[in-house]
Amino acid sequence: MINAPILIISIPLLAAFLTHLTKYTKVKRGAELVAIFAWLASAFVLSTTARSVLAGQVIKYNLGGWPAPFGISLQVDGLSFFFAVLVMLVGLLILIYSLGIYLYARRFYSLLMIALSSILGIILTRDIFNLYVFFEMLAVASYVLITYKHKPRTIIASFKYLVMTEATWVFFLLSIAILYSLTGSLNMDVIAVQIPGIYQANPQIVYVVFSLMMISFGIKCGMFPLHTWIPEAHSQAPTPVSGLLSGLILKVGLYAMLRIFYLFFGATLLTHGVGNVIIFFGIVSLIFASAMALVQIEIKRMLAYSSISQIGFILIGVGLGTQLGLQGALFHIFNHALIKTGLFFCAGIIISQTGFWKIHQMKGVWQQMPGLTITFCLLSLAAIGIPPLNGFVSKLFVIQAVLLKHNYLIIFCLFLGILLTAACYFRVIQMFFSPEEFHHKHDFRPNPVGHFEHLTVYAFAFLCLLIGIFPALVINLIQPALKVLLP
Amino acid sequence: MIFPTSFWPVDSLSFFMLIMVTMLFSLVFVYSLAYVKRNLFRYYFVLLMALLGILGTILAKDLLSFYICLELMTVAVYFLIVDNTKKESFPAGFKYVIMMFAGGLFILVAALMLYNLTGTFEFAVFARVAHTLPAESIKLILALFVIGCLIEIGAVPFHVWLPDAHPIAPSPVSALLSGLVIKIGAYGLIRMLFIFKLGMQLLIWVGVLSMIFGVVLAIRQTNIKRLLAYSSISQMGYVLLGMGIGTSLGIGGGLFHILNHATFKMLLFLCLGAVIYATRERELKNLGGLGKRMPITAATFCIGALAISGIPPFNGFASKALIVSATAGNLWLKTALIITAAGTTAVFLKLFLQVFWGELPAQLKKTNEVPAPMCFSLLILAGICLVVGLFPGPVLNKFVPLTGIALLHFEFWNFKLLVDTTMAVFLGLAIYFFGVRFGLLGVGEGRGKENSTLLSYLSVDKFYCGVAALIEALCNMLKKVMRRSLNVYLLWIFMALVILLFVLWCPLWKITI
Repeated sequence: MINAPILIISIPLLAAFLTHLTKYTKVKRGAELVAIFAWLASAFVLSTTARSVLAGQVIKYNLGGWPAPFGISLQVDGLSFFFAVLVMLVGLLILIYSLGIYLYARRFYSLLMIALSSILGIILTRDIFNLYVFFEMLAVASYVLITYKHKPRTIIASFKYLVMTEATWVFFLLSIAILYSLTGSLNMDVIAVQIPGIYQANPQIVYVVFSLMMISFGIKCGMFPLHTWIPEAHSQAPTPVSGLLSGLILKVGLYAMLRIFYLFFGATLLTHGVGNVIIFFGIVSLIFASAMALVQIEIKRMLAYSSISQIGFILIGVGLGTQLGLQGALFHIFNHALIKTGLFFCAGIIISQTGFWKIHQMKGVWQQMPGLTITFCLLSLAAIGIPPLNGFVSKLFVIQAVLLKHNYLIIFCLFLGILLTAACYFRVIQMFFSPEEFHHKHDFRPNPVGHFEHLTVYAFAFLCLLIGIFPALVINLIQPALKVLLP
Repeated sequence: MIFPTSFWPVDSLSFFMLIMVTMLFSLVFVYSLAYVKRNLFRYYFVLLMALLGILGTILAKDLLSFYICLELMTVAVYFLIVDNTKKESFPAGFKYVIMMFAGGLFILVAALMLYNLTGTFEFAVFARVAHTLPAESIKLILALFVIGCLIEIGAVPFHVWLPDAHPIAPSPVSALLSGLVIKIGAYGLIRMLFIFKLGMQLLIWVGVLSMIFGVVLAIRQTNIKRLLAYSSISQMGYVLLGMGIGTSLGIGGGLFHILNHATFKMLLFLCLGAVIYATRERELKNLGGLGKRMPITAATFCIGALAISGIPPFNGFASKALIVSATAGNLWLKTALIITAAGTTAVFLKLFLQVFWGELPAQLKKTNEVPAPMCFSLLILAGICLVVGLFPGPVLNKFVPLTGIALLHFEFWNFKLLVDTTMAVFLGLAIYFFGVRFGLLGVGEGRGKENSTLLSYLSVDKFYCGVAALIEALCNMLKKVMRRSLNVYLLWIFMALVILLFVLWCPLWKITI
């Protein structure tokens, strides 16, 4: 299906505007229905491309019929397909989770659809300036989503997020401008062909472009010195948005990093050891964030820091640049999206049931919500990487890839990171099982939590178990993506 | 790579372990029927998960499956340890689970390094290609693997989780921990050492250290289950010593001791579990004179105590005899063995006298014998101890694998061994009476405070807690340093950019990390 790429992006985008029109119909909960159906339609369109993409073909679409160097082109290849499947899956579960709560109005679904469609746009576009535009769209939509509740603290958090992302997107714009002035094109393929020549003539300018891009993608994916917006935004956002931020927005930063670095610098910088720089940032993120997660008081903040440490884990795999390392990194991206979104949703349900934000207040949750506690335990064991859950498989690949490099310093850091992660999750688990009688916050009325929320959380835990037992399900998706990254 | 997890009863070694595990596990089940009253669903679910994990490690055909089942067991046992959800149980469980994960990671790294060398995880293939692999890397891999297994076993100096986890767990679970869970590490150790046919000087040292440390620390304990936990450390030292010697006599003795220790330590834990069940007391000073009220428990405990002290005709004697003979006249090792045996005798003499002998405290007047399922488990275990002790030769030849000529024709009832045993027993009696006289045993008059502080330094627990506290303090410091201000955040961004540019401009990055 040749029109698939544009349909995948435009159906949710259209739905974002349609949700507002449901005001004039008499359908109950029309906005939710529109959003879900648009998302399913988009997923259906994606599935029509599955066969040819998994066979190694590329589906290209030129916007407005303009051929590649002039117009914008969209493209579905192995890597985009892998990420698109992830976005479809997690996005659907986020939508279902937010269905259950009557807290969200049309505006919420509209913004969510804009954010999701811009994520799909980032994944499918082949034009570097278009990538920038979609990133800005995503930033604005998620900015409003974070501050959806209009409380002073959420406004401060999202303002910080906005300022920081905009500051770095200026860098990205600068790097696009440099590339445009050097190559005369914004098409990724055209730029990629010319970069080795530029590197031969003037390596310094390539370094500058690389650094600018590293900073701007690093802030999206939460690399160590640029991670600061993550704990603030995650802990203040409404729960579905925390899931969106941790599950998808961080992954989009990683996608851009993988796509652009391997396309532009795969033959030049990465083969000359710049991967080590990425590994270094990965290690620092891993250790720093898991250490911070250990001493956090609020549960959502702890989960946010743990996200950063998992991103560090992924960056190590990305920086290794070997077949196995990338396989581990991609697998861990998939796993982490499922695990962390599930954990945020668990935490969200617990918070809305008890009114408590802090870990040490959550005693005796087991007596009150046994199913949810078991799910939380399963998901956190997956995050630590305990077999037979999915986190273990990707951890295995990354450790093996590092071992093949015979680098024992990185192994030691991975050790430390995994143990600290285990410590911070078991700190929460043991609080859940603590004997004290469960009690609500003083004069707190628990929000009703419906079946949809629980269903979503169980679905995440089930997926983690399923992928852990049958890792081939995801590995078959990763193989075409690896062929794109390492031709 | 798709997971090549595969399970099969590989050989006589797993068959041996399998018989031991299924037999003892079913006794734990029977015992639990009467002992566990709350949260039945959760308890039996995790108990079965633990069984799954243990059986999986034994039946694993490859190292990866071994690791996977080991982690499964670890998580299940964590939930068993914290089962009664008391305030004290969580720190103990936390210590257990973190140390076990660390041990598991060592094993995982060793497994992956072997995979990178040979392209497979299978034990059978390792055995075939063992002699072709580079010796240096094999040494490294084995060192990692051995450290991992030692943590799982709870050998000195990695033993700190053991005395914390045992007293706090429900009694059937403590029996399970000491009887089966710590044996899994030993099983993995034997499996790998047998493949690579490397004797290990290290294991001898660790074994001797564990033996002596365990028994010295056990002597002063007043919590009955904690005492047994320290004694487990000491008994696992025997197993490690036997393996470290590496002759067929040594390994055979080690394996036999695994079986025997599992039975008598389980018996002892279940007996004291019965005491706790009947009296709700764990401290020695509140117990006494229970022999008349609980005759079955007292009798079976007596058998277990005799067995662990290595007194014929009980099973402890048989396996200790093998290990003593394996030392082949090395005077140092023999001295260590005799001291440990003497210390063990003293410890269990103290325990028996304090719990079952003497005056019955007033609040325990109404104590009754425990229910039938518990008595059933105790009697069966005591019977095993006696039967194996009476006929060690046939049992050894039938069940314990890897028998060599020296094992087949081993003379258990020879004069020299009996002399050694008698010596150890008299030394033990002497230690007990001197200990009581000078207040070294933590019972009787309240003397010997200085000894207890000395002992608390001897146990390395302080070191581990110190490391944990240090890490937490560092993390807190880090948290304090990170200021939550937008200006600082923006500064971070620009600094990151500048550093990145600097690193790329300079040729520094060409040096591989």
